[in-house]
Amino acid sequence: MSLLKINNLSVKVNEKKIINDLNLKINPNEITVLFGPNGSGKTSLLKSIIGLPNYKKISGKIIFNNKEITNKKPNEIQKEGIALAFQNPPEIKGVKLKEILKICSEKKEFQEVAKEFKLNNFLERDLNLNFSGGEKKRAEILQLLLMKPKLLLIDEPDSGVDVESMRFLGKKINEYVKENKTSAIIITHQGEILKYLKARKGFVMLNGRIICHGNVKKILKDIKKKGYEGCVNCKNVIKE
Amino acid sequence: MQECDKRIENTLNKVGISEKNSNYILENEKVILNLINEALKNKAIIMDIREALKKYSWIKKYFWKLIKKNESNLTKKVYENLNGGYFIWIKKNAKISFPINSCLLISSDNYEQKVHNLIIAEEGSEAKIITGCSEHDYVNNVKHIGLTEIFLEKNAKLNFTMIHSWKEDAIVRPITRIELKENSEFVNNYVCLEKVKDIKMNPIIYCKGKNSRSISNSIIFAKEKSNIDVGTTIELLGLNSRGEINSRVIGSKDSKTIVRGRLNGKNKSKGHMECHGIILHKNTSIHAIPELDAQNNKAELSHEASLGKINQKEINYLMTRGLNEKEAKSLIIRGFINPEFLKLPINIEKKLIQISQNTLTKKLTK
Ligand SMILES: Nc1ncnc2c1ncn2[C@@H]1O[C@H](COP(=O)(O)OP(=O)(O)O)[C@@H](O)[C@H]1O
Ligand SMILES: [Mg+2]
Repeated sequence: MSLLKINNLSVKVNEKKIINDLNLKINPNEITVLFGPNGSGKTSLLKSIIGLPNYKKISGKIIFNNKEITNKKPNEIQKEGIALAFQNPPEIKGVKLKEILKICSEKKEFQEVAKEFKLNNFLERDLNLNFSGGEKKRAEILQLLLMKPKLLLIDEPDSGVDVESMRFLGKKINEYVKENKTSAIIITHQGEILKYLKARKGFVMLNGRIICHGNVKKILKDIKKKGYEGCVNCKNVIKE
Repeated sequence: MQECDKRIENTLNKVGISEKNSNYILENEKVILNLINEALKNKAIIMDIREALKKYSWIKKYFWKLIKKNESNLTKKVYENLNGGYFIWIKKNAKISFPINSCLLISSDNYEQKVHNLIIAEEGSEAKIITGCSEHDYVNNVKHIGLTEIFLEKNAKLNFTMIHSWKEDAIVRPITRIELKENSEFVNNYVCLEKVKDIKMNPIIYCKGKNSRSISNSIIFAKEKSNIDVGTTIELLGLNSRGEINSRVIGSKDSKTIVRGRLNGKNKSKGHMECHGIILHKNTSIHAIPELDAQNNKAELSHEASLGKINQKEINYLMTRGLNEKEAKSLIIRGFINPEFLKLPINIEKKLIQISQNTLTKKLTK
């Protein structure tokens, strides 16, 4: 049985179709990797799953834990157990990181973890305001883990992050998924973070569709060798 | 020391001040409290301006210096019929760490309160002054005309905060002028989070001295049908003087707000202005009028302004953290008008945060 099932999903933003009759299944207890060139719709897919209102679902269904969540609001979907770490989180003036962590953890203790994430000196700072790229990523992943989700959606945790932070974040994500027997969908460009966490299955997205799936290592090797043009002509392309 | 009754305490509360740390309270034209506590002894004088004019004749050269008696009907009225106001004199090199609190209250229907305040911060002094202006809850149809002249001598530092808490019946006309001598530093804060019928004011800060600096901040929550026209002008007259204007405005149901800002670079100087506004409802307007006027080729002036509804991206983001839409909006607004950047004493800041939270929960849970 799948933890997440997406059937024939099409999504529009500003009248532009960006997810195109997409199908995807995510198994329980497993990290899945989403590849694809810039603009192929990876971020849009995660935002559609979490229910952002400007990503309008024009057809299809999203089922999580046997429950349809297609038309639920982000906070309702979060309560169902899905959480998203943004590729580009907004800066919110006057709202402190501490306040957000309090909300994510539902007022439970977060000081220790914040320290581990090297964010203890950022608690009184406005959220993401003048944070470096790496600090933003650490804040995103910290929030994500504090929410204790059953499905983690992680958008490019390895872009703009130094190797040490990446190793740390990869390790933390891996630990969490293992200990809580949860699942994750991770978007990565170069696959850097895959060195530090255990992922088996990979998907490739192109023009708002999943065009192929298979072993992560193999996909990554092919992409590194032939680029995404290779994917276009690949014989493993899924024919729906 | 005179006792204040419960009625007064309630009204003081609306502007974040408590009776026990007040130094001057004027109710209509009557001084009901005037206290120089231990910490202020030998450092500052606070008394009613009418008494001060008798006692210290030398202050006449400051009184009516920045504001002209006949520059408008308002100033004429105050000149002809003065109801009070405070004189605060901060002595040379006095460093006063906690704030001097004053309150101007109105307690009768149809009352027009005409006050004239004078502040002199002597050379090398450092102080914070909070002035709360308000009316009792049961009072209707009031008008407040408040003149304030402030002088900062060489190397003086002053943080001046005006907190207004009116009701839908009040017409408010403050006129404030500040003169800065060499190396002095002035922070002007204005906070208005409650309803008001009509406020119009535009303090002028004259950065006259070399290296004088001024920052002027306003936090305004324009409530139902309020008419608000506020601004700040900073005249950068001294060599290397600096000025900064920051305004945050929230416009709600049928309110009209004009936020003005004017930086006048008349010498080698630097100025920056920021105005940000959030419009919550239809039929609500915020009109930002930032003006830069450089009259010297070594003046560097800049501004930044933005008006609009609450950023949808921020709402979405907070909803993915589990907040519903109302909670997300209220958190963003609270952050937007977070008085922290005013650098107020911590107890006043806490009180203001509490006041703004109360107004928000009232507003947004309706
Ligand atoms: N909020 C949006 N408004 C307008 N266009 C969008 C928006 N989100 C995504 N798009 C468009 O959808 C396409 C897919 O974008 P995105 O999902 O960000 O791709 P990826 O994450 O794979 O790089 C792009 O053409 C992008 O410009
Ligand atoms: Mg993306």
